[in-house]
Amino acid sequence: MRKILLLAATLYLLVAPFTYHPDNKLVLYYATLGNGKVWDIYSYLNTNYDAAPKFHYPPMHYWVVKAEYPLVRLVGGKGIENWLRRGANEAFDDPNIFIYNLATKLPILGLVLLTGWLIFKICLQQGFNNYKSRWAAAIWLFNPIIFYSAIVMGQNDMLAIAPFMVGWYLMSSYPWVAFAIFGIASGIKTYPLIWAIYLAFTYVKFPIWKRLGLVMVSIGIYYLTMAPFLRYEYFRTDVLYSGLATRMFEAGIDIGLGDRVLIVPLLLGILLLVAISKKIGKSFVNTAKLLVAVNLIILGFIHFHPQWFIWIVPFLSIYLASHKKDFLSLWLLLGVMVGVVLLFDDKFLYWGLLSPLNNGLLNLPLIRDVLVAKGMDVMLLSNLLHTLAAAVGGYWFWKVLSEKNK
Amino acid sequence: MLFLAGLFLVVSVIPSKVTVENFRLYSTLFPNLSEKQKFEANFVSIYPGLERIDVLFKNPNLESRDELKIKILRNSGEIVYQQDFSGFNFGDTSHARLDFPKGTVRKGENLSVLVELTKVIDGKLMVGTKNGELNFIQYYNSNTAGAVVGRMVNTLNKVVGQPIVVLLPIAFGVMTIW
Repeated sequence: MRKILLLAATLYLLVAPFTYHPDNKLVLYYATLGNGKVWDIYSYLNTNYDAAPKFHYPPMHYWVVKAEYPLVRLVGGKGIENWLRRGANEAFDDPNIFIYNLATKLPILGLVLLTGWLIFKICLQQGFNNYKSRWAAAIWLFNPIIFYSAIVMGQNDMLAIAPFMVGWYLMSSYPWVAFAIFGIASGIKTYPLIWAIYLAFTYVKFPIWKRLGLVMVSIGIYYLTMAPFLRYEYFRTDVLYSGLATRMFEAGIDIGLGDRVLIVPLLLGILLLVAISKKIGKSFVNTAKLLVAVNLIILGFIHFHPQWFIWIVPFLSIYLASHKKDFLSLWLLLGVMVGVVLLFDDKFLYWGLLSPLNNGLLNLPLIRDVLVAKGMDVMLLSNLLHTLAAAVGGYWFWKVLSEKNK
Repeated sequence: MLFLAGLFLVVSVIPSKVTVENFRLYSTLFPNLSEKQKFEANFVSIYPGLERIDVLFKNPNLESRDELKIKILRNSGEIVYQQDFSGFNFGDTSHARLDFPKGTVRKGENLSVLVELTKVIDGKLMVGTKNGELNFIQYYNSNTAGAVVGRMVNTLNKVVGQPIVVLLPIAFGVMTIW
């Protein structure tokens, strides 16, 4: 396993310094505001003028970014603070861009490696043999989705995924501690809360009332991390009602008189009831399958950002280590991701990533504009890709539903 | 090392254009074109292959129909290229694009961009300025062998200035093989 981790680290270090995405820089910029003395970012951005967009993540996310900033500054050196202030469209042109890219991504790379190691340990703990456990970790570590989202883009989803995996590793021995950690992970980015709810309700060692207790622990800690801010209108607007948080509730079926049945909650509800009744939690692999299905249902029916596919990978890696025939799903998802990336109205998702090596790349046209100029219906293409993602989600939904009762 | 060399080479040869914008970091202001009638800015073509210039305008609510001429001039007053525009051509912040034939301008030439209001219809058209100068972007063809080599050299210079970005993966690579 050590060799696999070292090989992954080598590959990551070969790619990370030479690729750039402004999101990674922007999040760290927030940590420098007010000479690094700001702890309530929402109040700061709403009472001081700053050209940066509002901060849409929960407060715990901000505090974690602040905690990682000293390491980033240590690696990046003094100049990094000025670089973080530079605009997204020209920061890649800095003479020190490579070291700055490395510095801003280093914590993320560490968390990707930690997650790979945790997947290995969790698999061993749950009865996989050494080979299968290493295989699961390798699928995670060398996955193109991980490369794109975490190594090339430096997306902050890893800040939530890694602690979640720590919790999962502790779950069999210390369930209450594990669900407290899930609450903290949810405080960083909200979606681990959904995973925690499924893990709690399928935790077959506990009776149902104790499972409810586990859920309450995660929700309680999630709530506590946000409680001091909930009374502020700007916090509710910037975080709770932001586009990111409400997308799950957009797809719906009109049932008349203004009422709608919401598709994502509907399918997630069915999955939860089926998972409880079929005692899915008795099998580690089936639990991983359930979490893949949950994530795919969400991504299949919302306007997703391609980098969000990283959410599926920890669970898919575990499942694929023992069910190789389902690799087809991974390839399909990769195809959807690449297609959506190329059709997205954002050059930084492809040309911009390589802009430190060739500054002129950002002057190339959007691929979607080229396709439109050639008479192609880009919206139709995009909708077909979303439909394919939903189809893969539907397949995994059916896989959970067709599981035999334990 | 081979991987990195390959990456640098492949990315460097992707055809693209190099942009140059004076006072890029300054904020943009939009005075009315009718206030001064003429806006001018001087520049030097710092690369070979200048083939396009974009000048920034603002047509609030798309209402203005003012007419204007944009000229690219040599120091001697010789016109390199000129084109007529009207408010119809502009959005509420958009560029006037001037494409001129390849080889028209050599590297190192002293040039100027001149925007002249030729007919005031409503006087509502605004022009982009930065640091008090007309705002425009120069686009250079960078698909020549020289430009590709230039990009490679630029990347290698940056790597030499930050050797840790190469030494670190090498160290991990050695540990992996060990």
